[in-house]
Amino acid sequence: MSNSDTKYLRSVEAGEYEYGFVTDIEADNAPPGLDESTVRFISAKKDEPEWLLKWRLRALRRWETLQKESAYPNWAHLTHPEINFQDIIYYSAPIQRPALDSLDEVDPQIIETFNRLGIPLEEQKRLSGVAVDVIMDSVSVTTTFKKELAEKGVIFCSFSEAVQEHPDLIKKYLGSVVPYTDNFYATLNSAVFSDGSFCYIPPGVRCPMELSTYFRINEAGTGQFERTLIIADEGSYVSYLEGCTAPQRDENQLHAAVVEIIAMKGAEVKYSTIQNWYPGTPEGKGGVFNFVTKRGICQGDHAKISWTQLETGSAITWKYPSVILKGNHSVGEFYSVAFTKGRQQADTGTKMIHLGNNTRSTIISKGISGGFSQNVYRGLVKIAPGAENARNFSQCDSMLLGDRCGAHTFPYLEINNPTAQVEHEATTSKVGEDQIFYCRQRGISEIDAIKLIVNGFCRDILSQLPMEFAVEAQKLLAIELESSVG
Amino acid sequence: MVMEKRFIAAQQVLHTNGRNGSAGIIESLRANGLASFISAGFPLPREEQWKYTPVRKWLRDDFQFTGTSDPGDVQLPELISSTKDYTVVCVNGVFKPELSRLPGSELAITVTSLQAALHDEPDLISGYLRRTNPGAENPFLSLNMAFLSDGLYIHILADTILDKPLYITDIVMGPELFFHQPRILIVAENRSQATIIELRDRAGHRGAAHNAGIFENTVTQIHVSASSNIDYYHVYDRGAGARLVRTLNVYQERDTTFSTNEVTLSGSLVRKNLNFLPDGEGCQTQLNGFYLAGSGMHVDIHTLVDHAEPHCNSKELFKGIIDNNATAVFNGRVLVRQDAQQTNAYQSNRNVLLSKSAHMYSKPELEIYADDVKCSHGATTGQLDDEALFYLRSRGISFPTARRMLLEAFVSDVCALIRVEELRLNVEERVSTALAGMHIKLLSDGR
Repeated sequence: MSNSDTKYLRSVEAGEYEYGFVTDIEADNAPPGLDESTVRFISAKKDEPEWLLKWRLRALRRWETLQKESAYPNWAHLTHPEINFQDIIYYSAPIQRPALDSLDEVDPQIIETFNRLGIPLEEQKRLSGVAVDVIMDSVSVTTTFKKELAEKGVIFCSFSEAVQEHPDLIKKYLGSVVPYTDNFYATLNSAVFSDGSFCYIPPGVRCPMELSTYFRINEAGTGQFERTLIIADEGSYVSYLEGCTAPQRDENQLHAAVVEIIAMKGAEVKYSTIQNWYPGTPEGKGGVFNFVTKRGICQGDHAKISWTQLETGSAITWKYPSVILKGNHSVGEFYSVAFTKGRQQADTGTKMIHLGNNTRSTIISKGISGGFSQNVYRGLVKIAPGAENARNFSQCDSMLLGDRCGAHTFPYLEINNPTAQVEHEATTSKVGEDQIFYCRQRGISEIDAIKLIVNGFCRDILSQLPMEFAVEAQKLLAIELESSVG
Repeated sequence: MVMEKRFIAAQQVLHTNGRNGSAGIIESLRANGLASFISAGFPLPREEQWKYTPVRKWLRDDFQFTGTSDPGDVQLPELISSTKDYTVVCVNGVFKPELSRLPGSELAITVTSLQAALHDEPDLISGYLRRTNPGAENPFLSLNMAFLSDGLYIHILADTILDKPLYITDIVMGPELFFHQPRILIVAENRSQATIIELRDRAGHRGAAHNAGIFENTVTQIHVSASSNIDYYHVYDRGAGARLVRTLNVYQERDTTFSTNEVTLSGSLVRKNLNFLPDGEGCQTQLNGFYLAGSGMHVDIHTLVDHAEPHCNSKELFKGIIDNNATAVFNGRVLVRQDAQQTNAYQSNRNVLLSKSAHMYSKPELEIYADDVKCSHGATTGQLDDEALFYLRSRGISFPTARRMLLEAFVSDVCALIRVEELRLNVEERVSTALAGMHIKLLSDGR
């Protein structure tokens, strides 16, 4: 690779975070630290029913045991300073005026934040036809398009609202895919989750629009513990989008979200994420620690769950969106692009657990690493003894943009049924000099050539994203590559 | 720690008495081995490297640690007695020159017992023995060291080209629950060339069916000096019930070529830790092998290719057939360190499951810290192709025959990589026998 090339890649690696700013909104915080009183405080703030408080407390007790045993998940290819869980503020809500009938009533500073992010709420509402459940620091601020969705019987609201208005559904499904005992961070989330999104699609309904939530971490030193629950009833369809950016901050921010998806017979859920949280300085200072548990279950026959993710942010990403293929003929998909630079570390992948007959899963994962970053694909494909004719195809490709970064692949293939057909492939390489040369020959600048090649490398994934999201994703990827080159 | 205590006690009984005279260096090697074994203990299932192999299950027996001192009438494996090539015969890990057929003095090669070598050149030999590839440490390696008493040492001097393959076989003669821990050290000096075959098969004392209870914890170390070329094979066929934990550590200097073909045909537990460290530019490493996991077998192949230097190639191909109640594990790790630019590393693992009670756990890993590399791996698991079966059946071939033909064909490309024809034919014969012995349940009804 030529000198200018290397220079370019260096500058890409050093690219600064574009969306670093802090909105100064008064927040109603819980004192830092975690014990029973914190959980009770959160639960009381939310005016939660007794059973939910009990559930939280059970999780808290479990978490305390885990912490006593130091049972942190330490198997991932990640290094980070020990997290002091007693330093974290577990609840913070923006202070706002009650009753919001229109956008005018929303705190203008919040609107301003989104404007600066390039996601004007009005624009969203008017032009894109996307209902946005805006999450700012753990409390749902506003929900749009609710009425239109209500006509179809679709429930799309904040988690706390759902607890009040649809307690039966919450009680039935909360923790049914990710039990509070699942893992250290899921247990923590179960104890202290503040808010999140809830979505229910009634039988036979094709959700008329893409449901979208913008997550945003705002208050300094605040952990975000979101909880999302999506239930697609028989024969329904929903496409759910989640995207996020976070302000630049020095202390590490912990994020431990849980997402649960239930797809009934014949239902289809498409879950797309763009994650662009603050990755820390190029020297590895600060940045978001993102420990997420995402899992879906294809409960009925012919159900389908599809995860698509573009991961460009966070100092640490620990994330394995999974599908339990329980129903016969059910389908699981995982499409992922993970871009790491600077000192970022990503350990991400999926789990496909085949339980039903004729279940199929596809895994396409693309990792791009630059700088001093470490990018890991870690995935599990498990075929249970009773899963006849299961089929899996996995492809994990890695691209290296520098000579000080790492790209790793750790697939686990556990096959317990002879009728299964499981294929896994992985490749690792750098941006081909011949490819760049070919583009240069045709008058394409080196920068554009690299963009072109990287974009081509990720094409399979980006094409899975819904339209508006795909555009945003491509832009984001270009910015990531371009940033300080201009 | 209860399980470990028995081994530690046995080690004390065996080796504390002999602490006198010139055995100082062996003593210190043993002490080191024992210390690291005590600190590590036998692996627990929660350890990543042993996740799918709960090895303690096979260690519960009340083992004895000494073999028959006077083996008397030894029955050599057929291949060893029939071959015209060089043979090195060990009994219970101890080199027996009277049973071996060694190259003449015109070839600069020394075959001797490890004890004698340690006596002659204590610092050099103990230096080799102490060396472990990074990341290749495991409690069994330490345990083997703790019990070190003798072994085999093969020294190929510089510029020596071995004209014929050299077979090494180790005959086990001992109590029924014999815990056997042989050690082989091979040092190939600069610009040498050799073909070496390590054969562990079921032959032994006439009429005795004693292999069923043995547990072998073998360590083979191969040091390949600059510009040498070593072609190595390992055939394991001790018979049903035999247990093996094997550690192979290969250290390659610059411009060397090393290839191995690992054939696993029987045993109740076979765990192989195959470690390769191409520690110089221009190394070629080839790892091939296949495993036939017959009824009830547990086969676990762990490989580690640690690319530390630039301009090296490695190529890995492992295939497996897994029958009733059998489990196979393949964990192939390719590590490309930061300075190992221009590395090409390929790895492939293919498996056929024959039964509903067969399990395959495959974990091909790539860990890459250098950018100018080409690395890939592939892993597939499935069953025999219905159409291929149908094709053969439509030509009047019975189902069992058709199935056997396809399975033989499945492993034939790995067999074909055996460049010693005599050995290849022998292995192919063993494969046929083993496949015929697999009483495979019909996969679908009506055939």
